Amino acid sequence: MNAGNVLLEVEHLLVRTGCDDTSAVLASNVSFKLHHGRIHGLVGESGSGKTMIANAVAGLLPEGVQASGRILLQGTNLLALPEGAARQIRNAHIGYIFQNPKAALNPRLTIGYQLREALVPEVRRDEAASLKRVLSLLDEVGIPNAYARLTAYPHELSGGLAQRVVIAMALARDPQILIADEPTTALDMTIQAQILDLIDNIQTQRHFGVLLITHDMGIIHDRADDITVLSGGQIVESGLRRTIFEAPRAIETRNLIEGALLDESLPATDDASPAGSCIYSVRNLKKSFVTQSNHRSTLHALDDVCLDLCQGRSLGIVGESGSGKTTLARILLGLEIPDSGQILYKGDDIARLSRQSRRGWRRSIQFVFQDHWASLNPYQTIFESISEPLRAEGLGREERARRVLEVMQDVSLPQHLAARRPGELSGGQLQRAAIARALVVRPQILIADEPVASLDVTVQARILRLLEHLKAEFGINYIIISHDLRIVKRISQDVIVMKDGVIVERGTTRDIFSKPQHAYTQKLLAATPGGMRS
Amino acid sequence: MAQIRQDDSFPQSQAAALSEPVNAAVPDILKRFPGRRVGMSRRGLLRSLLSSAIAIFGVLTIVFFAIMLTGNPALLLASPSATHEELEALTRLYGFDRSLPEQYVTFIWNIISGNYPRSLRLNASPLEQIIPAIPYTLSLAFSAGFIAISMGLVVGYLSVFSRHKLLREVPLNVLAVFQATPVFVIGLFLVLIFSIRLGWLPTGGSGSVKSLILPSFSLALMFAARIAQVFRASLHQVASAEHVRAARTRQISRQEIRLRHIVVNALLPVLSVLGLEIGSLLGGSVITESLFSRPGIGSVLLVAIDNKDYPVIIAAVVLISVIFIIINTLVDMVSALVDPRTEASL
Amino acid sequence: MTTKALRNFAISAGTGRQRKSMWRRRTNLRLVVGAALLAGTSIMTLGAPFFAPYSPDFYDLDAILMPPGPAHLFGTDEIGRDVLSRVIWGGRPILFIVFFSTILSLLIGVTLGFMSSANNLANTALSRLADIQLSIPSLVFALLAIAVAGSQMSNLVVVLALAAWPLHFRVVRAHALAVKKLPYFEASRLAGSSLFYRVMRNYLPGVLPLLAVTTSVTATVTALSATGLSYLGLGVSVPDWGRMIAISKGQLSDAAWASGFPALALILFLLGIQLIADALSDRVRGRGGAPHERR
Repeated sequence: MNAGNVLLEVEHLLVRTGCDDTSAVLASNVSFKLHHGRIHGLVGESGSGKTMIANAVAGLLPEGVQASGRILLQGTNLLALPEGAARQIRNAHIGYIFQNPKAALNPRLTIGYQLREALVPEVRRDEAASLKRVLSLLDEVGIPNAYARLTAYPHELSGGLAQRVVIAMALARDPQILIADEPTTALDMTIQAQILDLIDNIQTQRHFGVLLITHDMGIIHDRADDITVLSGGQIVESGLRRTIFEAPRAIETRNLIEGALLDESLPATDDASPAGSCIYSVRNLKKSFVTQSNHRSTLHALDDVCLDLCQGRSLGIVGESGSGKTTLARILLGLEIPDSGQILYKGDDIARLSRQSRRGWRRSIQFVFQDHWASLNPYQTIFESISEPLRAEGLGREERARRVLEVMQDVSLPQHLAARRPGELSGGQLQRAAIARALVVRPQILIADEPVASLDVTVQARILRLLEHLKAEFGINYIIISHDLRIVKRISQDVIVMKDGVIVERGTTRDIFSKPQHAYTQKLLAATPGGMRS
Repeated sequence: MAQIRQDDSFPQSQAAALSEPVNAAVPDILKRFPGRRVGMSRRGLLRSLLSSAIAIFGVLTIVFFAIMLTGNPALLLASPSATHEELEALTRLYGFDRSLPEQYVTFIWNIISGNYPRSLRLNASPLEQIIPAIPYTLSLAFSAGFIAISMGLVVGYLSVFSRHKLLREVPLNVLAVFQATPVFVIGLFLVLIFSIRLGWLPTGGSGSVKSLILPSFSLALMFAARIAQVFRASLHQVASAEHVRAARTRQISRQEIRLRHIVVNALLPVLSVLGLEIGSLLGGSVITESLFSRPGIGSVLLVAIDNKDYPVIIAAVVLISVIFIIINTLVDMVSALVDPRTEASL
Repeated sequence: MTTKALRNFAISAGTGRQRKSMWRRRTNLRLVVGAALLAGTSIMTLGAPFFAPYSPDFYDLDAILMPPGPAHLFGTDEIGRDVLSRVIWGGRPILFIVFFSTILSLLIGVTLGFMSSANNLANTALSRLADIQLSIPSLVFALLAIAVAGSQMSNLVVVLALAAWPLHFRVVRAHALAVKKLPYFEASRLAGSSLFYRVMRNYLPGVLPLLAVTTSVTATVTALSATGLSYLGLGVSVPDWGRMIAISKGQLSDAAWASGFPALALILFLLGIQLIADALSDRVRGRGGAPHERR
């Protein structure tokens, strides 16, 4: 708890897109201190200015954006120095970890080359010394077989590996400050935990200061010592971790905490409602793909998968990338055909449905896509997109209008947005529109693939509440697919955990979260940010 | 994106792919920093060659059909004054009376083995006319290409990085005007100024390096604009990439960043445009050779068309296409060198 | 809500508003100038019977190589023909060839592009075919065709169209393959919409701007090839700009107008198309493809 020396002090930082009156203010009056040996978390939604502040400290502001105020690094005000001198000091004392590791690496140069480039010039000049240093850095970030890796190219690495390399580059010059800008957003959950653990370990060993920027309050809860909460470019609250979480004062802070779904208690979704009849059953589903790339290999997407969706209970499917969850969803919808196995809709095999009943089946299952930016036709208005299923049914214009208005009201989408096009809507509004389109035919089952991914934290909470409300009002059964256990916990009564095309564990939400049986489930729970450890 | 996700703790297949026994080699390797894996893999090379082979076969097929479409191929190969018996002899010799697939095979075989029907004009193999002409065409093509690429890259670079507004805008627009001008107009224009008015350079011929200058420039100006535009767009795109930001955090000079991380990375789209433009280059070289009286393959082709000397026509068309395909393959290989990812998509 | 109000809502929220905002008219200088040049040269050429003061073949051996003057605004050529009239008439063959050839190449390219995106086998076969077509430089291909079949206008139109179709083909095919993977395309399928509706609504709006670019590029390239051929003497028998430039090139030093004016007309025509092509491709690139891809 004893604060060490102050490594970085930011005073009244102002970040603007220009110098005149027409410029937009990205951050204003921001002040905080980073202490030796502590992790300081800058948390806020997208647009809160946290990234811009980090950029200002690191000297990576985009063209045209200006910073004024004081940024004191080792007592020197970086903003008062000419650019060349400021850059020299920054590069020597600050290490930066980027959000998208593969993008941060030059695709046409080897890892080894870029690592060497990151070294201090004196070491860089000498080949043997460079080699030794680079190998030790790779060792420090936990990359095995380091020498062989040096000739690898960025596209040959997995996301987690690439991020370790980026961290190695950040450490290359023995900085005193490490700035981690959303270091885990692009990664799978288990990998996220690994990377964050790595940063923790390095911080403990090297004893420097870390500025951790994220929108996920769960990560802050687990890792940060001091916290500064930002909203709209201004600090709304700051303090020690304990204080912030035990007694959050600002509304934004509370929203962020709620959005991170950090409740220790079990959710209300775990009602003891009796399972109704089975409306959707899957038996022994198998599906493989032959990859088109250089190495023709068979990817077993699904291997002997069975599940049941019962009336009145929602199902959550959890898995990381490559687990087969998306393939499963697509097969359930009829977008892909399985290699073997059966899918029963109300007892009938869907492969054998008559034309008439097939249409009924189609209408009763609807889908909300993962990428909400691309799930609505950008050339059509919202009205046209939502009414498309009705149009396909042959409804008249007035009837369609009536139904669309009705469903827009159900999802709380303002009426005037109907004439707009997707490009003019925000992320949350688009997601509502996508949900509206799925609901307009009054389906029985709604499959949602990552329904709240890439949405702002507060918007996430709202959408989840909307889903709960719709379920209560219309009795829809959900199949929610997500990589994030927190979301599944909130919405579904039953959970299935998938890995590499196989279901490793299934059960009710309560059981899975309190008594996970399989090792992978336990690993996932442990990796989920924010007090979900069982 | 069917990338097989690996567990981060020990990606075995990667280790296998980049196998280097670390333990054994430790004493030696401590001295040498491993460099790039230069060049294409064997697989990539084979694929490239296969593509080229298919392309060449395709071209031969097209030529074959063009000949067959005329109805009576024997007429094409015989001199205008041939008698009926001579025509018959020719027909039997080249198998025109046999079935289509047989003719196709014979045709392909003949072309590959260089066994062309005799040129009507010289009564010798067309290759005797064409082979001496190849150096002239190649020298023109390469020097024009070199000039166009240099001009294009320089103008493109200036339009992005130059501090002077004039340098950024004027050269690009000047080149754009030339882009819309046919090569013979540019050629005549250059001849008018540099040969007739100023007398610095010859109006044609083939002897010296001097005679190469005007034709090369005429040809180069045709597509230097395109290269400049593509390079410019590419530079803009790369300059805002994340890896450039990452490079800014390192202790290297701005110049190094610009060159190593921006400029070289931006070259890749230029290479793919190059492949397409070389076709127009070779087509334009035919006109240029005519305008400047250079004895290249283009000239041979034009003379042959004039004389209705079909064997030569066929041989010339095939050879120009083969040269084109070879150059394209070379460009593909260079692309793989510049960006290792392209090999994956080849 | 009343029936009438519902109907109005449906109309105003639907297609009605769309057309206007899709074509936001940003006054683009290049587009305007290019269109003006193109229109100017085309109108002049098409209206040749009205605009040309003399017949293009009428010659007067007493008025050889006269410089531009009141009687002959552009001067006369080696056998006393009025250059102005010849320039006005000389655009016709080029205009016709470019127009019909571009349309034909579009027909072929778009059809084959669609076919290729529907079927895997067709995809490989047609793509290879396009690659092979692109392996022969277009001018060389034209020369071969002329040698074998002659240089009538119809031949030239077909040959140049054959040289140009791969460009449209690739664009149509790539866009089709990309759209197929997009969520909104699949959503449309899930909604139960007919194939026709899906193609019209999901595919077409994205591909039209791309085709606009390839069409203008094709027009430029075809025009260059056609005039190149006529310069070489292998174009149509009617005198056109290329031919005129070739015939009078010997007079460059003394009577530059005989070659110069046809060259100028040709440059203006080509510049018009080129400017339109540039403006369109900037617009498409500037939008970053479909609006949703920009995120």
